Amino acid sequence: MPAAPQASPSASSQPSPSLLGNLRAELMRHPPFAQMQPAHVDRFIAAAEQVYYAPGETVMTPADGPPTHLTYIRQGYITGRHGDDDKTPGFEHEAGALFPVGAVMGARPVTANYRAHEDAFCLVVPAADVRALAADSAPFADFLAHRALKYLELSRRAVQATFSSQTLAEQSLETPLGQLELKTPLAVPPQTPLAEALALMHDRRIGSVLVADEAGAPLGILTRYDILGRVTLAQVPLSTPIAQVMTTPIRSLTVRDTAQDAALLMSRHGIRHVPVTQDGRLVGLVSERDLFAMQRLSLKHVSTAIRAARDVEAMAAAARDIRHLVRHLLGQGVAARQLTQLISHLNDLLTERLVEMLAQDEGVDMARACWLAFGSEGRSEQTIATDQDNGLVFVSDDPERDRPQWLKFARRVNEALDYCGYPLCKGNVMASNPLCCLTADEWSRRFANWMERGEPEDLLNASIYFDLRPLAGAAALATPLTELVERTASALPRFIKQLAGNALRNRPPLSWLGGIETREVDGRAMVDLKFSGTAIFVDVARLYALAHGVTHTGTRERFEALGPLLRAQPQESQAWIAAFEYLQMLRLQVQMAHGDVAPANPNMVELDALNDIDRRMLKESFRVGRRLQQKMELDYQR
Amino acid sequence: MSLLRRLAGRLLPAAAHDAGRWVVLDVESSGLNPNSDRLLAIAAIAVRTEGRQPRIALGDSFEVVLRQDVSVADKHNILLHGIGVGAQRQGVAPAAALADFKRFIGHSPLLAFHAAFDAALILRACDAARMHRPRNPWLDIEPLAAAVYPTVKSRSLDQWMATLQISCAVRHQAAADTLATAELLLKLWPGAVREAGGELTFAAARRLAAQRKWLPQ
Repeated sequence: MPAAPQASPSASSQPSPSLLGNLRAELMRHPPFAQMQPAHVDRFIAAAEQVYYAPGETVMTPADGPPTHLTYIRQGYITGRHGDDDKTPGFEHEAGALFPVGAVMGARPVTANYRAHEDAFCLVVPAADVRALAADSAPFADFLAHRALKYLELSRRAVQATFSSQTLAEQSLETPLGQLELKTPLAVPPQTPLAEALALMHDRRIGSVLVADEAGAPLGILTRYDILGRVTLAQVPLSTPIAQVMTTPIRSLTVRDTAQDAALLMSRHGIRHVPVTQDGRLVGLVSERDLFAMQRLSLKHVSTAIRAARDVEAMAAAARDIRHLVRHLLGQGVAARQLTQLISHLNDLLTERLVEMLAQDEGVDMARACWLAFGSEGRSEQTIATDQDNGLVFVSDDPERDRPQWLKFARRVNEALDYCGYPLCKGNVMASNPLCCLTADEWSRRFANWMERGEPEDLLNASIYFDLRPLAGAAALATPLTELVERTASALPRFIKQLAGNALRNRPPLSWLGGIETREVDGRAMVDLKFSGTAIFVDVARLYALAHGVTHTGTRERFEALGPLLRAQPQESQAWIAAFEYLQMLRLQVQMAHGDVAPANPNMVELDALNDIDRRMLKESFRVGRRLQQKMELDYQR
Repeated sequence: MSLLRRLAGRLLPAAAHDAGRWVVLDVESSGLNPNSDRLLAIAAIAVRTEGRQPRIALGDSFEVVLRQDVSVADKHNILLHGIGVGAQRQGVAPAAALADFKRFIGHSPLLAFHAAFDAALILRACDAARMHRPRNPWLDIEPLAAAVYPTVKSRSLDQWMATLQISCAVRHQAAADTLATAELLLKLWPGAVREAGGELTFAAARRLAAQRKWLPQ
């Protein structure tokens, strides 16, 4: 619909309020304008001039001296490249971006050559106006001071906004009813004969039937509990219209009311069902059982259920609850680190319980063995779609004699885990594999071999097994292994160098212009968030951790410990962590979006499906990954 | 002002103008006939033409809704331009609105897409308000676009916007249409400079547009 200009009766307006309004709405879709007061956004626009750059046209070069204007891109791409040769990687600014922030704020020439990549319309604002606005608008100033980190920080704040420890402790009853998956209620018109309504209840095995008018507005309800008193004992003929015996007025809630409201209404009036309406129309029915199911989906309940489980069947049910809980928490905006930790924590619990249960069953003594977690579980960074990666270390004076019984036990654990929804490892990194069911000495020899040889296969193994963590049984049995990795790797520069070379084979998907490169899958432009995303961070963190004898296995903890050791600015190591966790969260979102069915490739995201800020953060995260790799290249490839 | 200048002004009313500030404008009217329909609103925006490239000065923009005393509204057209009867009645008195408009345009040349329509409505409104007509020179952007892109068959503003991939926030809102028209001018600029042989003065732009007009369509 066309909008009317804001007419003012006394005078004409200058600058044009409609023009300001249109542009304000456009700018406020992007940070920092989204966070600024509208009046400050208007000031930015009124101070701006709009320019056009044809494709390929030079926008700015170092030779221009300190830029006199800050540029905002309304349409098109501007790419920047350091130096004149085509070999150096570049970067890309797209619609909504502000540049060159550093040069304008620092009053220094830009360090790159900027060029329009397609037709570009930009707003240019004189540097003096930018500084004056920054003096008045804190969000604007804040953005200019932190630009790169800002995007990541904004996202983190957004996901943490609704997060509190309370959310983890108990499933929130604050969830609006509209967000619950409600049953579609059975509703009949008021003149429906009782015989018909009761037959429906019987056939569908439901406890209540709603009465609604033609427009869908609920009028009353008849429940199984009412029938005895009002129909049977009162000897009402079954041809009576249902309207004469239904309970009215009906107590209903709207989609905006919370589960808590429903629970209170039920307890106050002793009712078991509450119809839910939207705009006066019936859209669902919430039952006492639904609320009870919600309570079950809390961290406490899931972990209690795991501890109390007596058989594999109960464990499988608990595993399903883990996934539901994670989906719910993700929906509430809990951050990736908390989520992956939570998943790992619950998976740990579940594995521990399974190991304990099956060890008893098999008659093996877990005081003489330790169940080990490798890979993402070893790093406590499990997402939903994670294969098993595990092993066993056992005490024995004759391994060949004892191994079969451990293998038999391990096979049962692996199969039970598979049954619970943790697929068997395709690479056979599982305790039921004789190569992964070893004494401490045998493990040590295997590890030492990889480090000495450094063949591609050894390096791959190192990247899985060296992220190791004891999970169940005698944890002390794992200590010699972790100590070996910690001490030996750092003393073997050749191995570290080989590991670095291996990690560098996999690059972030950025074009030399700085755009995101995608892979065509079924006609859609996709990005692999694991292989070309999180894996890069994990590999770099592991390499530096091994080289510096850092004992943490988590990527975040490794980066935190490495920051000072690598003499990185705190801001820089924060950026590593933020980028890694952003990618993890995106992976979780993709996996969760597929519901209970595991997607064919759980780590692929369609670029066009991302919103503007996610796309920009994805690019920024890849850029951080590229910087990390460049650092590693400098440190270990020369 | 010297006698000579005043005389020259009479004889060549379009000669003296502000070379560095062009004004792009768009009007909304009660219908499509410039000789009988009423002027409802004007939006205008300045384009700075001196320096390396033309720049749309967003802060140097203008809009006004003219008060209408006619009570019967053309409902069909209200749906198009979105200025309801209420807004029309609340507008600025035509004489004051046009005086503000003349102050805003100063000596700048005036540009519009299908400028004859906008010019006719504005000049008629001045006559009706018993005011002097602005003597600023006019330029139609449509033949200028056709001169820069001789092979493109676009005619309407919508077609040109689609061809040159210009988007408009709110089509048929005078302010948004004006910005889109100014963006069209910015996109035509490099080609027009080439056609004009290196420098695009207002006179050169008029020559380009006029030359196109005489070519067989």
